[in-house]
Amino acid sequence: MVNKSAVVFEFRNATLGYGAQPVLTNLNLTISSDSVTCLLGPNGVGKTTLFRSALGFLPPLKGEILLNGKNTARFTPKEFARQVAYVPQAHHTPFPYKVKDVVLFGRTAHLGYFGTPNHHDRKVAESTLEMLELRHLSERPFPQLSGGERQMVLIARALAQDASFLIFDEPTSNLDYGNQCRVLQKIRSLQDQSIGILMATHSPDHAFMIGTQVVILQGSSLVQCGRPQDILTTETLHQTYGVDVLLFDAPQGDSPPRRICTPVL
Amino acid sequence: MLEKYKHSLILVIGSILLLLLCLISLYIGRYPITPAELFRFIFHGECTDPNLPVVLLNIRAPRIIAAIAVGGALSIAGTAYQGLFRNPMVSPDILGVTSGAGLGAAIAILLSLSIVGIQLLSFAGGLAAVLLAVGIGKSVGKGHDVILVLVLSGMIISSLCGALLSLCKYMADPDDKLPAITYWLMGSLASIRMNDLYVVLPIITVGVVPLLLFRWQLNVLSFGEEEARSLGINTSVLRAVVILSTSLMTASVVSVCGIIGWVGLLVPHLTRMITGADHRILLPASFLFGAIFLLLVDNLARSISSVEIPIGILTAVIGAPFFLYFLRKSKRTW
Repeated sequence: MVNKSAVVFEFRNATLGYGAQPVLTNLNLTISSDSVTCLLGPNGVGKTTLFRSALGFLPPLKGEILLNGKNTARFTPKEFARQVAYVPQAHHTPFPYKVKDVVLFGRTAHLGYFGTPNHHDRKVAESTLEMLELRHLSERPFPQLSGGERQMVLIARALAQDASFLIFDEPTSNLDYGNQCRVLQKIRSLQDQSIGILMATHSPDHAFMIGTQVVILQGSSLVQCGRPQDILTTETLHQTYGVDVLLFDAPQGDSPPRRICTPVL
Repeated sequence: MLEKYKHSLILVIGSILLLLLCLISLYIGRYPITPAELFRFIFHGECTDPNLPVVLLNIRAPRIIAAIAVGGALSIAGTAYQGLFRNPMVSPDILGVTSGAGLGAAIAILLSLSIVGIQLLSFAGGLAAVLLAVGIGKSVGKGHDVILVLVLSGMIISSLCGALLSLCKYMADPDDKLPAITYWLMGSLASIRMNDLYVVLPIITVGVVPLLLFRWQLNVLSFGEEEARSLGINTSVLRAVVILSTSLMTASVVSVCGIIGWVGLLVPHLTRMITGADHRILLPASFLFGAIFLLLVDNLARSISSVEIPIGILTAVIGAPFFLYFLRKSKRTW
């Protein structure tokens, strides 16, 4: 899983939305796989719409979305899945698939039309579980896991997909504090493997912790984009969420201090 | 690797059980046959009783083959639909195929068509109902959850067919046609002949093969439409293949033997408890177990009383408590 080719997502004058109702208009945005991009914005502003459009679930109403210069509509699902993997929020499934099978699902994009996973695919799935320290779960039924465990398994599935770009939909929602930190740690470590990350989150702190780039959605077209330290200011956060926040630089031992954000209540 | 052996073992044991059950089913029946006669006929092809070949080959064998085909087809169809709709409570008739087929048959009976006519109209009615449901889903469902819209339009079509079926019954002559419709709706394997099987078996094969080919993709699809797409599956093609195969099978089955409920709901559950959720084993195993189940029930239908009991009634009577038992036993996971 090294030496991935860089992947660039580009929204060009894209108007995104459902039917006649645009949610985001004239969006111009470039997201590259050599960064961890955190997507911030209030509820209902269109983070999910942006994701669903980037993943090809929702064709843009106007404009285009390009992946490495090629319109995403012209990819087959399989071609696309080899480049971009999606980590949904941990959810429930009615069927008792084993964890190792769920991770194997990630290999689907590498199989033939009627193919089933072979020895190599199982090896990839095993080593992914190993890497995320989930080996002990591999025989457990997925629906019986805790929310945090399920989220980690879905990350493992996306890694087994061997894509260069991962899209996370609020990966820490519904997780306890410890699991939130563990998931964020894993996401940050993925960057060292040159895997690009786009992640929606409700917490500006996540952007300070792991983001190298932050995208803020405010109105239907207002997009701010840049390094977290540069654009996540008290003014911007007030504009975005309508609340007053304070920013501090917290010492981190030997590492450079990290900015943290706390609301004024 | 161990898993592979387990899967093969399940299929081998299932096949042996089915084979034994076939032998027993050949033996059971109104016309008395001794086991010795039966074995001599099967293995040496000779017999002293001139009626024996007729009873075995023209009456019992077609019925056994029919039970296997119908039970297997309904079960594998139910399994595929439960995966597609991500819901273990779904049966093959969710898109209206059975109610459409029932309506078709009732109209044919009303028009005094021949048996072939009843079968054709019933088959056509089943397919038409599904096409309508899918069509409504397509036209209404822009931007909605595809699966949810499909289920709802299936409900609309089913209840519409149900209402029209009631109308047919209301207009039917209560002396001959009404009983014919009612009896047809109860389902029976009694009237199936070899000629029916020559038509139904190829259709079932055409339905089963694509499902088995896409067994891995069905696993992924059962996790959710958008996730499956992001994992590299062309979900609209796969959905169309599954709906087409299951509808073909179910419509053809219903057209020759009437409505046999519960099999397509109960057997996938039972099988999932034995094999787990993986469609690679679940699909073939549910065909096998469905065949065994219906053959068993059909043997009961034709032997527990002097008058044959319609098999649709028996599957429900046996199915309901069975289902309750397994539901209690399985608790959290299906």
